[in-house]
Amino acid sequence: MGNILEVKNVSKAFAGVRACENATLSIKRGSVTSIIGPNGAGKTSLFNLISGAIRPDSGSITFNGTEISKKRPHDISRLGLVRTFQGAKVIRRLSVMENILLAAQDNPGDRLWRVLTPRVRKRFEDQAEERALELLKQVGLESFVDSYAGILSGGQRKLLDLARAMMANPTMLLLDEPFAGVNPALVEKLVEVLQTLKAKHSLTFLLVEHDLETVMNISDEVFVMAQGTVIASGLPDSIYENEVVIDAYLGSRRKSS
Amino acid sequence: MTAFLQPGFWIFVLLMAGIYCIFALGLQVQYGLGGILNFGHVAMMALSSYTMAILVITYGWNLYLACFAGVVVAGLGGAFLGLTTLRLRGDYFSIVSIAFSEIVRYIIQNSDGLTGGAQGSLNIPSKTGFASYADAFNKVLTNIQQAIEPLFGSFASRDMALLLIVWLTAFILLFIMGAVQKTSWARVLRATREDDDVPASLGKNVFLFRLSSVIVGSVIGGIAGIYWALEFSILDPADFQTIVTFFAWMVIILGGATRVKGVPLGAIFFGFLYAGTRFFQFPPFTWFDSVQRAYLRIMIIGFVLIYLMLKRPQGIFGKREEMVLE
Repeated sequence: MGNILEVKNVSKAFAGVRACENATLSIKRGSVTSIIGPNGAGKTSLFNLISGAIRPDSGSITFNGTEISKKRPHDISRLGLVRTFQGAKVIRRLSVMENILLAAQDNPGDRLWRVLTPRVRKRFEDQAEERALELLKQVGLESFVDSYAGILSGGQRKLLDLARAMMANPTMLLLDEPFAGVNPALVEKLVEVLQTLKAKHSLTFLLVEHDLETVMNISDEVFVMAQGTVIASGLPDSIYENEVVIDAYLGSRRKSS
Repeated sequence: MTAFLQPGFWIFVLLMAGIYCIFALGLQVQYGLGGILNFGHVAMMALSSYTMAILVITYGWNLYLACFAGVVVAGLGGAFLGLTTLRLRGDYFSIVSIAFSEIVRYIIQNSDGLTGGAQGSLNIPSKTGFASYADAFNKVLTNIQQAIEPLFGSFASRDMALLLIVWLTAFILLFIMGAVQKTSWARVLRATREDDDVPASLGKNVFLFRLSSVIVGSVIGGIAGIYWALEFSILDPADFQTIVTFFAWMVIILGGATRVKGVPLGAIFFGFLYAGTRFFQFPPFTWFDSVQRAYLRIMIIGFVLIYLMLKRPQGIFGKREEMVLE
């Protein structure tokens, strides 16, 4: 199988405050991996570093054998490493369909001169729309196609965010707290969607998540971060018994029970 | 009051509305799609018109070639403005863009040997000693004027001939930009209006999209500058003050920034509002003398804008959902 993503000794400081310190982790191709850890542990910073939103001070990040630590976000996305954002960012003033179409890769219409070749544009758009509709059906948003994304509820936005990321043809998805603030029924639905997508497209998932139960259910491997660094990793079950993790994250309540 | 009744005056108003329509269309591409607050748009008009005038007068270029060069220089001006400052966020870009247009104006005003300085284009150095750039075009206008005489009778003036050319250009540009709005290029820009991270995370180089919209808008602004120059036959640095940019802003706010079709209607509405307020010959306007009334007119336009912002932020023809964030 091999590793699809390798993060080696990555450090980043903001004005002297260490967001990440020698963070090292590797993600197996086709796996679901979760990062857990207390607030301020550097999980989102690590996501931002991987996705190119911020550049590391030192260390290396390789995706599919390509060094990406100095690449810009859109270049990284084009390599097939696509992320979502904490709280699901949708473009509120675009329709649900437009939100998804935004992610269509190599759209000829992205080049301005293509205004001269309406047929080429239309052929691509038609195909893209078909695919988008399929994805919307998979997440159950097909009845909102023409609505402005701004009217969607928080949970629906998460579904749209996920479908949109899928539209970008990723080989690996970074999901930042996909289950936060979502009701239990929708968590089930999201998990189901994730598992379908994983099976169908042989995707690799990396999640940052606080919902431990779900994390333990769906993850093949779990990394625990605290104070900017990876303090433990392993199979979900082994994490529960790890003393370091209990001290840093799970707390004594877990210890006693 | 006499001008009020003369068709020639209203032809002039419509002609200027056409030039403002083209000029504002350049802003619409930037603001209506990308949400870019460019307050230095008038610089593109100054760059194209002065480039054209200098190339014709000093270097004896063919007028049409010079017009083309003028528009190219306006596009380059947009590229320069964009490359240097588009990485700044919203408000900061606006401030720098005002500075850019003022710098362009001051350079024109103080480069006597090149631009004629404060005395305007009449003072541009010329081999023949006669600084005129519009001769070749005036002949064309005269021909058109004669050709349309059977149709328009006494209305067939020079302004009428230019009015037809300007509005023809405006409609061609409106048609092209209408098609552009339907491309995915425009969709990405509309997304960047709200958020940079999302399009970037989906593989779009946000900076390039913004830069191209500023360049396209500048080219269109440059075309407006050429017509401005051809209408007045002389250029004066004072023609290109920041207020002119804000006239274009009024046009797109009146018409509705999110829709191309709002631009011509906004331009005509603005043209009549701006020229028409000249004729407020009744109290309370008659309490002021004519100079004061000229300022009053700008105030009235300001009030109309504030009213629109409060009651119809999408303008007269825009899409409310795209302007208002609930």
